[in-house]
Amino acid sequence: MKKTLTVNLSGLVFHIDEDAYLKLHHYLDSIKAHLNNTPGRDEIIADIENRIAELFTEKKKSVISIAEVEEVITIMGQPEDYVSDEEEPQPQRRPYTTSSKKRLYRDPDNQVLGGVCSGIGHFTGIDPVWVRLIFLALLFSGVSAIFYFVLWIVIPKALSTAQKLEMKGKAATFSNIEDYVKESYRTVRDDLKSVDLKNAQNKAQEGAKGFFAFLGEIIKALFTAIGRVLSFIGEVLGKLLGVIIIAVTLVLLIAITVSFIIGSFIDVNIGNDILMLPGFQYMDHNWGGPYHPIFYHISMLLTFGIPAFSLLLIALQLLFKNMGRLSGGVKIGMLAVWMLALIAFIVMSFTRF
Amino acid sequence: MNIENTKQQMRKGILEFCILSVLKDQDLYASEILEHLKQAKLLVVEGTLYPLLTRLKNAELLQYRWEESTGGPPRKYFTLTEEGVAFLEELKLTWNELQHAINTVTNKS
Repeated sequence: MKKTLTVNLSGLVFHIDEDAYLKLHHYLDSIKAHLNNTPGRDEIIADIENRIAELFTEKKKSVISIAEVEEVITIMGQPEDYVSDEEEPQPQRRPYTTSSKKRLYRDPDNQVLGGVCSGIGHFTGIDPVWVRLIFLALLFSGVSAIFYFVLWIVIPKALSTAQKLEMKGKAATFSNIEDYVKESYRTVRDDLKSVDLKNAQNKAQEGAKGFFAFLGEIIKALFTAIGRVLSFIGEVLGKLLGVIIIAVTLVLLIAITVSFIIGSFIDVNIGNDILMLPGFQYMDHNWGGPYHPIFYHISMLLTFGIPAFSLLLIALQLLFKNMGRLSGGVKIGMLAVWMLALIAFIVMSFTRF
Repeated sequence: MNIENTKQQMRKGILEFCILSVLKDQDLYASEILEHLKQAKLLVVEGTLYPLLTRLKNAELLQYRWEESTGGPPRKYFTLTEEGVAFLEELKLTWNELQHAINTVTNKS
């Protein structure tokens, strides 16, 4: 039994085995990489896809398997064959699997708890053992437990072969990030170039009210171009914002957890005179509330912790598009708990002393 | 020297000339052009053709129109432009000269 995917080639729908799809996908990607410096790259790719669609149609099979894809590749030739003689082939050839993007997944094949650490290991190229050690070291501050829990919720598990390949893809090293940025820049630039000026001019010459049509086309093209540029900048800024928010919320969570531990320790134990640190003595530690002080601290932890926790979730979703989302019920539950904790915290603050 | 490489270079050089020649009398779409070239054993793999077609089109030697097909994807039919016809004539002259030159050189030895 095999899982199949549906693909659209030149407007025709094909059912294709998962492994065959991956092969075809990598084939097209590496052709794209080879044609990077060729003008009209997208058009060439469209023509190639068109031809592949034709070859698949001739097969008259209900499902395209890896054998058909291999046959097509034999007919069409290796990516190097596409480089026309006028352009020099690129000096450093990219390996076959390069252009597939890497994504953050939890690794079910190498998990201790939820596979979070090994997933991060795949994504960053660091040995998962080190990631686990870092998490363990941070456990003393209490934060890594929360952080691990958050990641466990939001990072999807790599279940299918495609996801596992995406997970293990190219490590996010510095030069790869540079490649990615260059690639994005190239897309934007190509879009700018292909702005339909020629078309607009032709139209303008035809019509009687040509001038306005011409103007309209130019304005339309200009806005599309500006839109592309803005969305590119937006994406970069979004990622940056995500990183900043994660850093801030992590610090915040550390602060909240530490103050919870120290605060409740002082309040719970002060009756026994255990804590006689210099600097604490001037404080009025007499617990005045009619309830155990631990409740006060738990309500404080929840009041500040839940918003920080949510912020962390949002930032992670900003950074990694494939992150899972909390279900509506969980969100409402969290909101309810937070409101209760807030009310309890305010009331107890007033009656504390 | 790699013999395969040299062979391929020779073939590539005349490929544009052949594509234009094939399109002189009739409008064809990519697969039909491929058929002609494959029959003549000029092309080993199909992939080489597509960048060439796009380049000839961008140089305004070719133009194309879309036509629906039964069952398959829509087809791009290529036609020579006036510039393309002139270009082809020019290439033909050069080819004849070359052929003559090569015959002279190879027959001498």
